[in-house]
Amino acid sequence: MQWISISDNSIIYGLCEKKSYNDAISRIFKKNLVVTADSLSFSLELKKQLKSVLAFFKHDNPADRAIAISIPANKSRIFLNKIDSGLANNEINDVLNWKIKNSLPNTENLFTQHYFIENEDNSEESRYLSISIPDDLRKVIVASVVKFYFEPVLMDLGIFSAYKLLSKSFPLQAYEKWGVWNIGKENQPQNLLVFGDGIMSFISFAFNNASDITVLQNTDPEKYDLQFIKDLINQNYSALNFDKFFVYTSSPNNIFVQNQVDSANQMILNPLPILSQQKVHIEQKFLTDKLGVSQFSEIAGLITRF
Amino acid sequence: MLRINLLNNKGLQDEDSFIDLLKIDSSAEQPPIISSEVSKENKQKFDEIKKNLDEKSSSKQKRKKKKKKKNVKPKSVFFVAFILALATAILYLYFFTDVPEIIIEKMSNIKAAVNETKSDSISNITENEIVNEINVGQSIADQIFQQSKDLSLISGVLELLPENVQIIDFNLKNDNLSIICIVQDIISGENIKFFIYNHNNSFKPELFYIEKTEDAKNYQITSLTKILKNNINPNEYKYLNDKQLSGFIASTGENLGLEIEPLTISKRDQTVARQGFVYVSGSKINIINFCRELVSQKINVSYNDLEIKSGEATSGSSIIELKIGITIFPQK
Repeated sequence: MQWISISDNSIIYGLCEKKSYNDAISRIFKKNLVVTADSLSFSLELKKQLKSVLAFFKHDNPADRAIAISIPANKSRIFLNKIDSGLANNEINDVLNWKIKNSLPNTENLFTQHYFIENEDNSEESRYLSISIPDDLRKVIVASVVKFYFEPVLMDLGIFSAYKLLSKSFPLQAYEKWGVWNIGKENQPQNLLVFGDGIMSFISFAFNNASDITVLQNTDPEKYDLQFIKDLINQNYSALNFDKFFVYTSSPNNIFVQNQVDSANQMILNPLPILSQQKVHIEQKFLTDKLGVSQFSEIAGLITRF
Repeated sequence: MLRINLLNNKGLQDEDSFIDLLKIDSSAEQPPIISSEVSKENKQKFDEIKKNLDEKSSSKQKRKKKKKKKNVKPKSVFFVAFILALATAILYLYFFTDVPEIIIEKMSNIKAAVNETKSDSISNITENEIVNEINVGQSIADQIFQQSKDLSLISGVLELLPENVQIIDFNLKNDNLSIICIVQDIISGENIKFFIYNHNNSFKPELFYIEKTEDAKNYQITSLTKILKNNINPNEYKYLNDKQLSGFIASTGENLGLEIEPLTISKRDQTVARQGFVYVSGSKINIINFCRELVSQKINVSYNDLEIKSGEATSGSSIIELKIGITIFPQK
């Protein structure tokens, strides 16, 4: 089994090596992606680095050619839609597609899936999670994998993988709501997933032109820290109403964040217990501090899915 | 528990759907090359994908043939056109005997090249020996490496030109890079000058000046620079045959949203070095990325000369036309 976890500025990848009949260990590595802001540059750099990662896997000539991949959640658009219960499947699909078409300016080049979410109450509406990702990005990844004769078996969103890790690591108490924050470059919170008994809400933060969430239209870099997140929570936004939050980063040189997270209900996500349980080894140089280790949360979540 | 898998089909997912293998559309890329290391099971799956692609391409070809049949013109028109073409060809050969004859791969559209990498045929015209210009003493890998470096430098210069640049002359021939262009501000000129003068190991500037244009509104940059040869480590290169090469160039261009003409190759025989031309047009940034993508792949191609022109602007963004003369080397 092979895993590739893609973030905005790195690829973390791992493979399982069979030492004997019943003994297997896995190793995890990391490559940086040097990209500018535009999506084309990301796509080109990703293609190049994927090629070298896949060549590395191929060199090992594994018998198991399956690959699980996670892509950064900020490349996607995610919606929680409610529709009337009792519709046929094809009608549900049409309604959800129509909703997405009305929510996004251009849906032609998007690949969209809708997932049913179980209701917390017995309301007459059904909830669906709709995920749209650029079709080109999906095709670039799949075609690269297929070219090297690997078999893509799973494509997940990074933050959902981190959520899987969290739900494996900590048992959630009844009626509790937790949040997972992904902190990107320059202390910017990128994505937030709130979950309790299932997924409650997802927020993606865009700081460039701040078109997504008006409350975040602040260009002061001082505000891009966890205090800012805490301030947001204190403002009682219903979407941000949760009991604990866990932070992980895709940019580990983020000392400022580390100093801010220290209490019982604000923690840095730690993938190490799960990884050692699965006999997964990380290069020593990455085991610097808690925040440095948290960058492996997404791949750890991906590993727990198998 | 919600189990997301973006490899499944579009639309509404079954509650239990988890892994829905290989229901994926790999049409963005060429079908993979068969390798001996692959298990039988994998081969079967890839064969299926390949078969699907072949079916698509054959149906496309059928449609194309039907279209062709509809466009039948009177024989007299063909006859006049043939006479004119023949006369032009004779005059051309008479006056420019050292110029290679150009034969164009008859790929009726780029999509066909990208998806199928099947050139229908290569016109069979007299094949002249055109290898004279190629320095046989120098190893092929050296040439590829050096000329890739040239293309990389060119894209560096091109990147410094502003969007609204008016290119009068921009070409590379026999290691001489000449640039004449008009820009609106002096800073762009200074940037290029800084770039060229600070690449001591790559450029030998012979002439560089920035002057105001006659209407005193803009600035004209005139530059003549020699690109220096470095000591080169011979590098390995990957061999692509004509189909693969045209597919690679076309898909690179198309992925970047460039307008790209079918690859022009001088002759059919793949055992000797041949010349060819690549024509693309598009936005500056995409042209730069196209050059970089070509350079990043060490294949059996060297980039000999290059010409850039300002194309027709469309809806506010300027278009650049790029022509690259290439040499295609045979298999080692």
